Amino acid sequence: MSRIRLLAVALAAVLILGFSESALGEAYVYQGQRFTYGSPFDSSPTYMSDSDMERMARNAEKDRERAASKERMRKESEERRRRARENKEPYVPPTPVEQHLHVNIPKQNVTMDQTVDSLLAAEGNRPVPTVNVPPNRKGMKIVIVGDEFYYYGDGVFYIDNGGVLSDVPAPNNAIVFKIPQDFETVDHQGKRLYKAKNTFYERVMYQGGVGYMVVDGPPGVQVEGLEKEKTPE
Amino acid sequence: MKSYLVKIIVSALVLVVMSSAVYAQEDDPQLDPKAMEVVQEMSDFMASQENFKLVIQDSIDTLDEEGQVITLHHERTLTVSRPDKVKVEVAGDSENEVVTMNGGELSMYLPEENAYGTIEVPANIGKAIDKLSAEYGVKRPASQLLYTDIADRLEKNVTSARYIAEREWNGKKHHHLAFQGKNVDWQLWVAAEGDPIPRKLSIHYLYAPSEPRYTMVIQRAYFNHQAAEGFFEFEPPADADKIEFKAPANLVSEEEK
Repeated sequence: MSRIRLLAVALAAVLILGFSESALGEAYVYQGQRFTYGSPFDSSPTYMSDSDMERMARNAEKDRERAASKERMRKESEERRRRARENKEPYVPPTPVEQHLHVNIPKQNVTMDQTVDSLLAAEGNRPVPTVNVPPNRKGMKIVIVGDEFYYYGDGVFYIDNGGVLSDVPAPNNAIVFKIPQDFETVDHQGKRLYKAKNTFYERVMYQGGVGYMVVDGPPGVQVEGLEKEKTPE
Repeated sequence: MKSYLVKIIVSALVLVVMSSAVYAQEDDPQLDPKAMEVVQEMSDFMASQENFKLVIQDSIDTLDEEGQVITLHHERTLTVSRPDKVKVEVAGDSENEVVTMNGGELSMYLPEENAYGTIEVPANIGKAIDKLSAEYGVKRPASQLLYTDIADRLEKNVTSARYIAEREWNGKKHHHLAFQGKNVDWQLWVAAEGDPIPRKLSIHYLYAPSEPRYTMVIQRAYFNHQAAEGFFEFEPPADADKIEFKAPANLVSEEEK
């Protein structure tokens, strides 16, 4: 009997060791990372490594749990409404609890967060882009400069301070695709610079399109909002 | 008791070897020889063409800010003179550009912005495409048709290749092939009559938001096409801005892959 038990344990260990990797591979299907359209012959995605994808696949499981939780909350809310209608009582909505999930992309040193709301489209469980700007930051773009990660909207850069956006000076070398329409142009050392909201940009060729890269302004150009250097009297 | 333990260990080792073999088999690409034969013929044919012109219609799904899939269309005209001359003219919904490669120089002109950029590239079309993709993040699926080693590249990057059927499409017979890669499923239709020309390519991006599709159809192909003299010379408009090519800050380098 003990021999059979030993054999069974050995067999189980072999099976677990042998196939755990392939089981992990099943979890790859996940809609939700930034992706550039590549070619069928391109084995590696531009932004994601295998380990990133595995990590995101594991996060996908958490996403599903949160989506299920959201669905439960929706049903409970419906039930409350129904009861309120039946009893002719005023409906008191539950206190909204914003749940955040975090998708870590260590290679980019990026943490992207978003609310569970954005995982669910208006009519149900239709998938929507998950690595995206949260709904309360709609219209903003994510800009990565070196290891830093910024939100950008209408000519202003922000960082996320524990869920609160704080505007920061435009980081040099950040490249955006749109700048505010009321820009001015300044010619400096044979280059045309674009000034918008006190930030200077240079047009560059970026990922097959035109981008605007944050650069230092030319000396002598007054930037609004900055105090003039005081000269000794 | 010792002998039992030895037997158990030996059995376990045998099972490990067997399971490793099964696992290794799963990792090995499943390549249908018939499919690969068609790909090889197509690859050889395309590599043997020195001067040609392809007119391509394509469409790609994108997501707008509301999270809805919007399909965009383009027409691309690729004029090639191997080994180092290419002109790609693109007009359509989102991309409007003229890419000219002549020897070791590649220029991209964007008419809507009236701007152009120029970079040095290897004087070889395939290597230039690799550089543009790897260093500048500019990837265009249609450019894959310009490699001279399509079959080798394909074989390295697919996990399965299947011959689906011979299909009649657009009044002509085609080999319908299906492939799976690490990140994409894709299908290819190669002419089964006459020259083995790739006629249609459909790519399904499995990991991109909303799993978009790219579809490309070669509408017209002109082989032994001689471009006019000076056709591959890039002359920007006099009032065009010269701007600098910049690499994406977050592009994963080859070493990191």
